[in-house]
Amino acid sequence: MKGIISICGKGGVGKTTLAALLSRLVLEEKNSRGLAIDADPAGGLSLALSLPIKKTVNDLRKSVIASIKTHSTDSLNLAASIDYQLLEALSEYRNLAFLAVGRPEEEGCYCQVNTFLREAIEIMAGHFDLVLIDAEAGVEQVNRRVMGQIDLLLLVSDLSAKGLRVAETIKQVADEAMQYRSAGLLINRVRSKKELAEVQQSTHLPLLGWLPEDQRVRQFDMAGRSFLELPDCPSLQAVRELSRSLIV
Amino acid sequence: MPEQAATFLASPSLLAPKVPPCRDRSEKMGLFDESIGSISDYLEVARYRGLLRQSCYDSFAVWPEKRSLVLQEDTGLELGGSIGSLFLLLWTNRRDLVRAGSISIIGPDLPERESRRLPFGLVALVQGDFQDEYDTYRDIREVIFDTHLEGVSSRFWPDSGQVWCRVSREALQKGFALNRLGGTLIKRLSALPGLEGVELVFITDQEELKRLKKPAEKVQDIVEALIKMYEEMHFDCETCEYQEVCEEVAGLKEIRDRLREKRGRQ
Repeated sequence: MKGIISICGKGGVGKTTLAALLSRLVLEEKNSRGLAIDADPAGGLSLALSLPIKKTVNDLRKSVIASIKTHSTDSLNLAASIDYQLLEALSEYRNLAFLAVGRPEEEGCYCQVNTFLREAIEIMAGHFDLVLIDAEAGVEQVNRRVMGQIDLLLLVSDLSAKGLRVAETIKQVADEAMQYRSAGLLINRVRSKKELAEVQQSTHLPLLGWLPEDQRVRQFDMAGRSFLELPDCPSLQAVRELSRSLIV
Repeated sequence: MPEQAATFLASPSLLAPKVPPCRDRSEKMGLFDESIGSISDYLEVARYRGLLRQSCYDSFAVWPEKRSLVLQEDTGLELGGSIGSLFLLLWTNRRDLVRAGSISIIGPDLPERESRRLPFGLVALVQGDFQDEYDTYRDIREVIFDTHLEGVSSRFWPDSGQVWCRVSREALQKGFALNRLGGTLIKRLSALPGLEGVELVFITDQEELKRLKKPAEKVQDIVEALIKMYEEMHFDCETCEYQEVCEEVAGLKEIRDRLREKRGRQ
């Protein structure tokens, strides 16, 4: 798998589960490296992967701003210190690294800091084969705070009409506010082919794949177990299948 | 005492003045001349204690350059960072203060390591015909921060005086050692216009790092005062937190007066 994938959708449709399943697949590809970025302020991906949040990007931003207020510094030192702290902020498990973005920035304009942060994340992401962004619904934030260019906008929905409408809205917003190469829909918690066919007819979004309702995934989720330890199961097989067609 | 260190053993000139006097009256005292003097004194003492190993820059003892991000699972050795680190950059116009091409190591070199983490200090003493102090500082930093070695991730936090490197197992197996890092830095720095010589000191011993804490704080104060002068438009010395440093370091005072006059004319 290669590329930068932003996973978006309505809250509760399974974005984080999908990001965790894709992260789990990274471990199978020993010669590749993955970076999972939790851009959802709720911070669920850390729990799904059981990887600690050492420092969020927003913590880093605050620490840099505090440092500017107490020390005399310039842009070169600022950029270098952001690079340093960004590497410190990574949690790692084998060939997978994890970074949490944290809550959106507070008031006050620190454009230079924000720009350096985004550039530092982009440079760091360049060292990974696959970058997965578990995004919040406000998709334009991804471009502003995380990554300027996305390869694939992966819109996730469950079978609900509301989930599909939100996915379509996100796509419309992304068309105006985001730079991405392609976009497509993934339907989660599908119980039958018939259900899938009905959903396909009710949306104009191109269908990239679907995930079955999976008892094993539910159990892991309920028990708060790490998806990185998930044994082979229908969802993982479906994501593996999806990953072959994904990239990008 | 290591055999190599014994070759350089000499009486420390502890009673000598920290900085040799300027050779002619037109020569101005540089921003860091006194700090370089303190570091030279420290090196003399380290040599006397048999802790210092010194080699000369060899243009063949360099390392391939490539931007790398070494993940934990590939890391063979971590240098500096949270277990203790020091990054010091000093420059001067005076040739007699810098041993051009010298690479000194205090503490174990990388092949001699006994653990997967070592404290790390990098002290760069740079000499040249420098016209503008801030341009010089920016140019040297740009080169150091932008030197990326294959199988090595290096990060600098200049405002905290910290440096942190992850060295991959593969790089260590291929023979990466401090003289390779030093050689590559000297090679790259030497391409800077006006630069005449670079001396590097690497420290991988926690106690030795502590000995440089005081000179390091002084250097940091001078650098911050310098940045403030160049980055801020107005000088209000009465309220400035660096007033004491400026009064103490002759070079800073001269820069301040020069910039003040220049901006007053604009």
